[in-house]
Amino acid sequence: MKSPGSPFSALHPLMAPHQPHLLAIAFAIGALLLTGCQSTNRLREAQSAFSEAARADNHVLLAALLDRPGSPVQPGSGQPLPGSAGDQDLLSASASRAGYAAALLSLRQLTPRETAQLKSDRLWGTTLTLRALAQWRLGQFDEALRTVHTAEALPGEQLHPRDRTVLEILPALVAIDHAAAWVRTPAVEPNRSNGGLEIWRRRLVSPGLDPRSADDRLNRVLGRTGTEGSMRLYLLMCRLAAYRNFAEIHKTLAGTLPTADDPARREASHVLQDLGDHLRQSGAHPAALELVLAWKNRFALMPIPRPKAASEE
Amino acid sequence: MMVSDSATLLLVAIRSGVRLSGQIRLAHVDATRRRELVLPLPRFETRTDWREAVEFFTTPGLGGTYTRGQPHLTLLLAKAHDTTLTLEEQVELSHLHAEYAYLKTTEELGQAWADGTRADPDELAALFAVRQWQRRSLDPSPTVLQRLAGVLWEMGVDYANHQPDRFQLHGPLPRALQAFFRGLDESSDLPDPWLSELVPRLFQALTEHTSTPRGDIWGPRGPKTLHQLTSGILRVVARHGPPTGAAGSNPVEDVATRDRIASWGEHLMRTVLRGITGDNSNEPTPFPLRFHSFDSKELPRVALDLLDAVASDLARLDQALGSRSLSPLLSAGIRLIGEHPSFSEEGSTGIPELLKHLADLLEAHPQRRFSQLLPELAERILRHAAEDPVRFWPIQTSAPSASPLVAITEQILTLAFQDMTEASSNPGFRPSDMVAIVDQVLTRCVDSPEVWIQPDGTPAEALQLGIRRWLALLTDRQPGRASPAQARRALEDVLDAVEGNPKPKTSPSRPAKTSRPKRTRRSPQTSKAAP
Repeated sequence: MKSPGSPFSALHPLMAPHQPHLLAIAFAIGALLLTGCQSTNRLREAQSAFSEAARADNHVLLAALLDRPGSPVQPGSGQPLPGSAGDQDLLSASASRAGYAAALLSLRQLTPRETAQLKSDRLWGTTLTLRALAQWRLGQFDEALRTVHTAEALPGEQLHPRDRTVLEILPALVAIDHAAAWVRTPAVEPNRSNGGLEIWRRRLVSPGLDPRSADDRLNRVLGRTGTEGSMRLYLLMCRLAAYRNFAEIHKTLAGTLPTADDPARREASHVLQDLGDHLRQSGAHPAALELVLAWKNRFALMPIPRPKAASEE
Repeated sequence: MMVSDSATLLLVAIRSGVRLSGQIRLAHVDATRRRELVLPLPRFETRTDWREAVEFFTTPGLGGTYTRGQPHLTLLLAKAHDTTLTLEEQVELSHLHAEYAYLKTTEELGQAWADGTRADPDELAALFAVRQWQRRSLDPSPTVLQRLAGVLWEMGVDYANHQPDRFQLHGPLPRALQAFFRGLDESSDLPDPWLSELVPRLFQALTEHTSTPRGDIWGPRGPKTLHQLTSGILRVVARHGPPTGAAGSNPVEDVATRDRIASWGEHLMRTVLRGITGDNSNEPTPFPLRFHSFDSKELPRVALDLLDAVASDLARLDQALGSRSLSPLLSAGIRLIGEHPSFSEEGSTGIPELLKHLADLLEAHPQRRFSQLLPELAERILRHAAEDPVRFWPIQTSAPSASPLVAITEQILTLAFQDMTEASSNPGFRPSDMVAIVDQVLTRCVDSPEVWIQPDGTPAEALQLGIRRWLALLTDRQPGRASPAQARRALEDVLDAVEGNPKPKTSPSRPAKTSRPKRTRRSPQTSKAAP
């Protein structure tokens, strides 16, 4: 029903005599459209919730990486170690977790009809990728890897470039997070020996093994990604994260940081150089180079250009 | 014959609508597929301890220079080398590292740092928003424009077949369509059903109004204006509409709300196009809108501000404004903003804030019928403010009461409503009488601001005094009540008296028509009201 003062009363003079029929038809078309779009809208909601949570998570992590001291040092005052998360960061992390859970819940509630619609719209690969990502962030590592296997079996038309890349690197991301969890759990004491260190080296940073280490997997994808775009930046940061967790495990198990001639540290130095080059070439604001300098000065990792191949020379 | 033509056109419209809706749904799917996703970084250890400190201070090219002349730091490093650091010294060393690492970073950032620019973690976090295709050119999906252009073209052809006189081969339509498509193309991320609700409506409005026998009425800014208007309408309605499928929402209410907002979007487009073409044959308002051309650069801005106001406060403004008010408000708003020397390109015009402020004010009155005053009061205020925009429409748009004319209107209404509530014998004012009274006072204030407005912009004491005296006069009248016309004449006399131009013989019961030499201008409404 339209009110007398409503603008609708002035519209469609041509169709005014047909208005009841037109309204019925319009409602029917609207209902059809709603059914068709519900699945897409559910995916969009999940995308929004996930991106929001990821943005907050990245903010916390990068703020800790940049670690800008706020007050003068008071030695021995029981301050947390540099780079520790503050209370606000912990709250934010909790909110992020809720965001990932909301995204996952939204995707779990898809009805068979909506699933069929997403498949028909070639959005099913995007949906499964998002589900795997949310499971990873919620620490459901096994489920995440199972979802990756399911998605990788989809026909090619369902998988689009970013989703394909994410699915390929997700096992690496799981391994990096797994290492971070190991470092942060003081009670865990398994394999605190050279053997244990070697296992972590193989999982995180060794090249050319089967199964691939996290860094090797990321490097392989990076080789295909080309030189532009946010994905390259993301992959470089992930590679540094893999090294950083390995270095932390090295400190725990061997008592020191990896030495300068350790292959993992050498490779990380090259990656850091690549990161700086990428930021400069991609036209990022000069202040973004603080990211490189934070890795360098805080973690004592010197950026080193890769040696040129003989053919290039 | 007529019925048959109408029925055919109806079928054409429905068929086109269905085809268009299908393409819009696909565009929505494309947009979802290519949508950016922020990827979270994997967790890594950001805490450092004394071992990173030792590496920093001893690795060439890092923090070695900071140890010179620092015997305590040198001592700590030596103890670290001998693994004899106490726990407290380990913590101290790691904090010294944090400080010097930060210092080193600032030094190395150089000019960027000197410019006061720092990497904002929020901005850095946004760098990890990854598109499905790194470059748009790699995306195989068609753009929204490509999706819709074919169907819209078919719609246009169908429509032209049935209304050939409306389409000219070399008329303004091609330019209009190009601008319209550009506006649509900017809206590729709009969720459905917004696109499917609005695009057909806007397109229909466009095809009905772009042909005119008066030649090319678009002017040099025309396409840009239509482009801004199209993309702006889609943006505003999407911003304020209920999110589709949100948890806990009522789908029926959501559809109704969406329909209302979409109707306002369409109505705005039609009103503007009608104003451009001078086609006021279907205009229900006594204030036919007529722009000389699309050359008013304020047109899209004012129009979209009005739509933004309604869409953001639909519950109150939908009914209170109504379709008839759009033309006069648009005209008055464009004139005010066009003549204001200080308005920047960005930011609000203050018109949405004015409408909401007036709605608050009128809600305070128990009689709901006075909510009808809103559009006419707003139009009068904008129109009078355009006489001297700097004085009467200061750029504190978030606070509409900063305008002296708004404050004056508020004072008149407050006093009048208060008087009515006290059940005095004032005339049975209808809403139109109240508008005339406010207009009468505003005209006085604009003509003689030094009498009625204080230097700080607030109403002068004289105004309150005059209104109170007038209300008292009406109450004291015996016998019976004054008619609204008599009341307005009485108001004229009282204001004259306060201004210092009393007439020799003034009777409240039979007030004579006054002439005030100071006044140079009367609003049409006031002139009409005074016989």
